[in-house]
Parts: sequence; C-alpha cells; structure tokens
Amino acid sequence: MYLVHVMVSATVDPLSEFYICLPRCQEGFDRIEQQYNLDTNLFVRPFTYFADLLSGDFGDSSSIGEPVIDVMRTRGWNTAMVAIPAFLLGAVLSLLLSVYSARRQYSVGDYAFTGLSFIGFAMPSFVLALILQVVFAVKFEQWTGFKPFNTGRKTGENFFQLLRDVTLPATSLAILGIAADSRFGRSSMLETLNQDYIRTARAKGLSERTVVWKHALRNGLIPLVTLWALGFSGLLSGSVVTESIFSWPGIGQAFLRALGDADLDLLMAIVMFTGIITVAFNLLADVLYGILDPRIRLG
Amino acid sequence: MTQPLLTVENLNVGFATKSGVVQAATDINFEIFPGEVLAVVGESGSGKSVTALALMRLHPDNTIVTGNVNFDGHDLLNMSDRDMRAIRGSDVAMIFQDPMTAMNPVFSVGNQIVETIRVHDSSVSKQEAWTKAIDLLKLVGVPEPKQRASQYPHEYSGGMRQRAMIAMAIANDPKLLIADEPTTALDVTVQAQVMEVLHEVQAETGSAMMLITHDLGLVAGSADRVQVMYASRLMETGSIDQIFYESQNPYTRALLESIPDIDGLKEELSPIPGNPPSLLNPLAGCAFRPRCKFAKDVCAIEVPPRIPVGVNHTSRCVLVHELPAPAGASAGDAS
Amino acid sequence: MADTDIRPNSDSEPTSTPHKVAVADAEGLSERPKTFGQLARERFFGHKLALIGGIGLLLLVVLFLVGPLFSEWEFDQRNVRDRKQGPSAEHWFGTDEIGRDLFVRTARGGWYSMQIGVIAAFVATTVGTVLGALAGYFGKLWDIVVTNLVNLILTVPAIIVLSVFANKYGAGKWGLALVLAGLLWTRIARVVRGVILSIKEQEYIMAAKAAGASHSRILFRHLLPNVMGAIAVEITLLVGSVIVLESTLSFLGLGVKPPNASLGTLVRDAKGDIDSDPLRVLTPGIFIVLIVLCVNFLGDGLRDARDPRATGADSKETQQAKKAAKKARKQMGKGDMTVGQLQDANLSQNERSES
Repeated sequence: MYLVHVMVSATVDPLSEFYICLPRCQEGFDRIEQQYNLDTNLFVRPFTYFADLLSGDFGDSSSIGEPVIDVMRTRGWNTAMVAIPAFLLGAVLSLLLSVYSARRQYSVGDYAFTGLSFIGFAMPSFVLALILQVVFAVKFEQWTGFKPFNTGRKTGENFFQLLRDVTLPATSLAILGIAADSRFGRSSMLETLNQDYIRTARAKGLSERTVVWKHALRNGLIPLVTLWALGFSGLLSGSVVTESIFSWPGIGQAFLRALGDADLDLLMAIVMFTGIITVAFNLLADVLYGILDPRIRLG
Repeated sequence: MTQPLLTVENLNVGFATKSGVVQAATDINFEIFPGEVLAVVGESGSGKSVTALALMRLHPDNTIVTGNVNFDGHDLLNMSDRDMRAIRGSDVAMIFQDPMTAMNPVFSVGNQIVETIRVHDSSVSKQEAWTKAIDLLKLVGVPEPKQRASQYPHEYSGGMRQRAMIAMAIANDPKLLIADEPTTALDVTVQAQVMEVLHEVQAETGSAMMLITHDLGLVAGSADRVQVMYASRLMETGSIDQIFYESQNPYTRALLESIPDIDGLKEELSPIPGNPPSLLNPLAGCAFRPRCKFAKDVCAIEVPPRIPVGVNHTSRCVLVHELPAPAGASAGDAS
Repeated sequence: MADTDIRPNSDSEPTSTPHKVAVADAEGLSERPKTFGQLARERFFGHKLALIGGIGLLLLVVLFLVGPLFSEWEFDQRNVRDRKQGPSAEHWFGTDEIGRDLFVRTARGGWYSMQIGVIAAFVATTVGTVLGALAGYFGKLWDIVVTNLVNLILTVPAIIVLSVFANKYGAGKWGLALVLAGLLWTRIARVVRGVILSIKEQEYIMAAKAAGASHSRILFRHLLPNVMGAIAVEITLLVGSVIVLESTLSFLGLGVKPPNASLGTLVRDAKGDIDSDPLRVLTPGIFIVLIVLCVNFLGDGLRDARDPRATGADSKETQQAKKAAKKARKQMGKGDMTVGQLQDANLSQNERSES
C-alpha cells in the first residue's frame, strides 16, 4: 500500500515539475513528450510506467546515457562500497562509546564525547565532509607532500586503491552516525545499568565485565540496534551530499544529476529504490526488536 | 556456644547526597548464628535494606560504609573484589524485593540459574547445570520445571518469579540467605505461599537467613530472633517471644499495637502518629521521641544507648525500667 | 533523597587495596569530594548549556543584523578589482570571486538561514499541533488519517523528497520554509498526539467534561498547556533540523537560489576554491554549526528543566511530588492491605528508597 502511495505521489510531481521546466524548442519538446508520455494525462502516466516496469523496462537515463538498470546496478554497488564500511565503523564505535560513556559517567572522557557528539549532531553532513576533505586531502598534501586519501573519486580497482578512495567518505558518514547513535546509546545503557537485574547479577557474584558486556549490553542495545537498521537504510539510499562532495559515483550523485537534467526515468527508479529500501529496513528494525526482546515476541 | 556465622560491628552507612550526608544506618551491631533466622523489621527508610546491601557490598558508589563485618572468618568489607565476588552467590545469597525487575528480561530463567551455578564452579557442564536448575525449580515448587526453565521471566507469575529467585539464591547452598522484603511486591494470597517456600528451603538447606521486612506478621511464623530498626538505628533486639510478648521498647510496642486485630473486635486502629524523621537532619536525642507516648524530657538529651533487658534482649530506650508491662500477644499466626 | 548514582563498585580487579571503605573510625565520615564535584558538575552542565545556547544565539543574531551596518559594503556590491582577497581591514572576511564582501554576505546569509528556520518551525508547529491534537483528541477517523499520513511522510527518505520539492518551489525564503515545514510537522504531530492521548483519560479532563466544558475549552485550557511543555524541546530541535536541511539543500543548489543567499549557498560558492582558500569554504559552515549548536543547547536545557531524569537525577520537584503523592495516597485509604502495608500507611512513612 505504502509503496503504491509513494510511487504515485512521486510520479505525479516530478512530471508536472519538469513539464514546466523544459523550455526546449518544439522539436526537442515533442521528443521528450513522447518519450515520457507527457501528452497523456498526469494520473494515467504512472500506469504506463508501471506496465513498462513489469516487463523489465526501466527506461534509459538521459543524463548518463545508459539504461537505467545498468546505472542503478553499478552505482548501487558504489554506494554500498561506502555505506557498508561506514555502517560497520559507525556501529562498532558507537557501541563502544555508549558503553564507555555510561560506565564512566561524568568523567572527563564522557564529557568530551558528549561535547563532540553535540557538535556532530549540529553539523550538516556537507560541513563535516568538507572539513575532512580540507584537512585530510588538501592540507595533508600541502604539508607533507603526501596524498594518503584520495578526495574520494573512485580511481582504483584493486582493493587497496579502493580502500584509499573510500576512507574519507566512509569516515564522514560514520562520524555523523556515531554522533547521533552514541547519545542515544549512552542514555539507553545508563538506564539499563540502573536496573535491578544488574544488581542481582552482581549479587550472584558475576564479574563486572560479565555484568556489563553480557547483561547490560544485551538489554541496552535493543533500541540502538533499531536505530542502526534505520540508519543503514539511509546510508544505502546514498548520501546525496557526501557523494557529491567526494565525487563518488553512487546513487546519491546520480540522483542529483537526474534532478538537474530532468532525467525522469532515472529519478523514478531512484526514488522507488530508496523508498523500498526504507520500508524494508523499517520492517527489519521491527522484526529485530522482536527477536532481541523476548517480551515483545509473545505480544 | 557455637561461633556466629556473621558478626557485624559498628556498621555505619552514609550516603553523600546533594543536600548533605544522610546516615542511613548507624551503629549497627548484631550476630547471626548458623541455621537461625533473624528478622530485621522496620519501616521504609529505617535502614534495614541498606544494611543488607552494605554487607554484600552492593551499595551504590556514593555510599560510605565503615565498620567491621566478619562472615565465616572473612573480613567482608576489606576483602578484594575478586574474593567478594566468590562469596556472593555461593556463600551468601540475596533475594530481592521485586522479582520482575530483579531478573534480566532477555535471558531465560533457566539460563540465569545456570549462570549462578557455573560462575562459581566452572567445572560444571552446561548440561549438568541445566539439570540442576530444573531440580531447583522443582524444589521451590514451580510447576512443570522442565518447560519453565526455558521460559522468560515475564512469562512467569509474580509468585513463581520469586520462587525462581529463591531457586537462584540457593543454587550453591549458601550459608546465609538474605531476603530483602521478599513478599512485598506480591499479592496477599501469594505472599503466604512464597514464605512457605522460603521457610522450607531454609529448613532443608540449614542455611541461616536474614529476613528483612516491614511486616511483623511475616515475622511471627518464621523467625528465631528479631531486631527492630527505626531511623537508621537498632531499637530492640531479642528472641521472637521476647519481642512479641515482652517488648521493652516503645517503638516496638507501637508497631505491635498498630497491627489490626482480625480476630478480636478492636474498634479503632491505633496508628503511630507523626512521621519518621528526616535522616538528613537528625534530631538530638532519641529519634522516636516526637511520636512516643512515653516520651519524657530526658529522652531529648542524647541518643539512648542499647540497654540489656533480658537474656540476649536489648532495647534502645532510657525508660526501659519505667515502662508498664506490655499488652498481651497481638500478632496472631503468620498468614 | 539519596542520589542513587549507581555505578559499578569496581571496574578493575584490584590486587589488595580495599575498595572505598575506611575501617574502624565511625566518626568523621567525610564527604567524598569526588561525588560532590560530580554532582555539582552535572547541575552546572545542565543549566549552563541553555544559558550558553541562549546567549550564543543572541550574539549571533546581533552579529548578523548589526554587523553589516558597520561595514561599508553592501550585500551584492561588487568590486571586481578586489576579488578573491583574504581577510583584511577593509573586507573583514575577504571577498569572493566577483568581489563581494564576504562578511556582509555571511551575516546576511546567516540571518536568512535563521529566518527560514523560524518560519518553517512556526508553520510546522502550528500544523503539527493542530493535526496532532485532532488525531489525539477526537481519535477514530482523524487518528487514522493523520497517523497514516505521518507514517507515509516519515517513510520516505527526506533528502529525496525534499530535493524534488525544493527544487521547484524553494528558491525563496517562504517557499523553502514551507517545503521544509511540510515534512517536519510530522514530528510535532506525533508528540502532540502522544501527549494528548496520555492526558486525555485523566480525571481532571473528565471532571471538566462533566462540568459541561466544550471541546474547544477543554483543548485550549487544559490540554494545550501540557502539550506546550512537551513540544518546546521538539521545536528547538526542529529549528536545528530546518537549518541543517536548508543549508544542505542550498549547498546542493536545490534550495535558496541567487540572488538570495544563505549560509549553504555561500559554501557552495566557495567550493570551487577549496584548494586555494579553504577558509572561505569552512567559515559559513562553522556558522551553521554554531547556530545549530546554540539551538540544541537551548533545547537540551529545556529538556533537562522539564525532565531531569534524562540526565539521571531527580529534581527537587520530583522529590516533593513523590512525597506529596505518598501522603495523599495514605489519606485516601486502601481496601485490602496486608498487616504490614496497613502499618506502613498508618505510620505515614517517608518515601525514601533504601538502596
């Protein structure tokens, strides 16, 4: 149901929008009109589109010049190449940070990290990406004549080159994720550590390490994991900003180009793709919650 | 005369709070002998739970504990954390008030019992431990123990949960069981059952028990000795008969009198007027004075010392010799 | 009230040193300075934040509005001779590639961004409150419609949707603000609905109804004030989000468009020169962060003031409230209590946890 809603509404708008912003001369106008069935009624168009879809025809991308399916595939992989490391890095670090902050509450470290996460929270993704770019790519080179991290452009094919390329954008995404997640994780862990069963665990004679990493974490992580699931879906959808700054050929960048060029087919595909991913991961988050917390399982 | 299992000397527990230091337990001295049941009675805030937690070193970090606690030859307060952990759960076990929150909701009950067993004896295999867990559940009266062991705490009823907690506590045959208000969170009908279980378990394993409660009714059926606490201090200690029939302390008497008499036909309830004092700014003199019907001026001078009034019977009151004879038995049987 | 700041008794495995216990001496229980310092620090942090945020925001506003008055340059006055200069006495922030003074542009851009933030937040709050209240109060059809709408909007990834809409409508202040508000009202609506749902069934509402109050009276007089408190925090977060989103969109070229300028567009303009003049790129970005930080501080301070449990402590009000509630319960009298419970009620116990 949702998907249909999303699709229909998404379909309606770009079309009308681009209809207006295409002041081409009559010839081109007709061509475009035909390609996209713009002469048919606005609300009917989705159906033709979906009909085409079902037969496997996603159309061609006018901005990139390839069939949409190919575009989606290659760029999808690219985006994943950045998204997956970013996610892993972010998840692990935010976990550690949450535990650390909760255990050593009010310590200097805790305050420092809280402060940093505040800043991270307030920073738009592009500011962070630019800072990273400036510091690590541009300045680094100036100071040391070294270029350890590419400014993100996908240059290499083998593993190490890719590693170089991916580092900056992945880190940028990871940091933002950590800032958001660790605040939440910290308070979740704090609350968990205050629970009675933690006291019971200690009364049983368990070591502090066991108490924290086994009993507390298992409970405190539950809400965090759902955050992760949702976050990952966002990452997969392609961070438009980050990709654009680092010139990383992923879905996000493709989206921008499509938008700028009024590339309807590609736009539709991207919007649909991201919509599906978001819904899928939302579902996943719910399912995960049920698995992790036995209380929910039985309703 | 056997050696006491637990000796507590000059125990003082204070909290550092925003508004100052709160003395939650002052000048606590008592002993528990092997196999006996000591009931610690008092209202909320009297310091009874705090004492127990301090013994096991489970108190929160802003707590200051001084004094001497000797358990079975070990100096509990000064031993290393590792040694303390070895004792917790094996020689001394604790049962908490609210079984729902006291058990980790994401692990099965069986698992949590198994954990207790294996953490103190790593040579026990998971299988063996699991079998033992099922046996324990059977012992405490949980129906269908084999299925129940795999279930989670929220699938148990309140009474069953507390039984499971008891099972966890006795898993390693502790010498001392500390039960902190074990029935307070339970329904009235279930309370009796759980007390039964506790009673049986204690009798069978021969462990000593420190039963903390505010309910004098519970005490009557289960305890050998009783100590009454008020405003962080011990008010009266003695055998159960002494406390119930020969009390020499105004607070204890007031407590006894305030128990509604179901059998008899008392017309009015006799509550103790007033409120317990603030532990933040303790009054000079006896803490109970503002609410005591026997109070005299001499009570305000200083905190009364504990005065022996019988065989192993002490009362913290300067008026012990001027009190009238206590009223007859008021608490009926423990129900 | 004991501050149950429960932290583990020990994080490490000490060899022989006893842990936090002094032996024998019953007198002279000295306060542990660490605990007090930490308690003080916590309170400090809580209140100070909002203060810093508020003052910071004020300073920024002043800077944005008043600053340009001190400069002799205009917003889009070009001095092509002087282009691409670094900061100097004449041009405090330097100039851009067509010679416009950057300080003035930054200040105006900042103000523009803030305006958008406020407008969007205002619209979002109004719409969100109304819809959320309708959904929560009247329930049934309203609830279904609104909830599904909210879920729908929340499901779609924001950037995507925003980009599409902003591109078309968002060139100016109002357009962009409306587009942003169109997405963000959902957060407010959710909170409002939740609050209303939870309060709706309380007794004083029923009492008002019994007294014959009309729906609108109940809404305005009783429910909304409670809602206000809850959404105050959300509103500040909202403003922050708007500013971040707006600058992101503008940076991508999708939001604010020339001749208007916002901090986002300034970054965009500067991006080309990132190699030669990185400071020019970063400065507007830093301002964005500052604005949002201040707003977030305010929001956090607000949240702590309302619900200090978020930081793990009980406020004075909570303590007093607990005591008062206990007293009231005692006076009401209970039905079936055990001997023990009755004793306690009669003894008027103070509500103080023992652990």
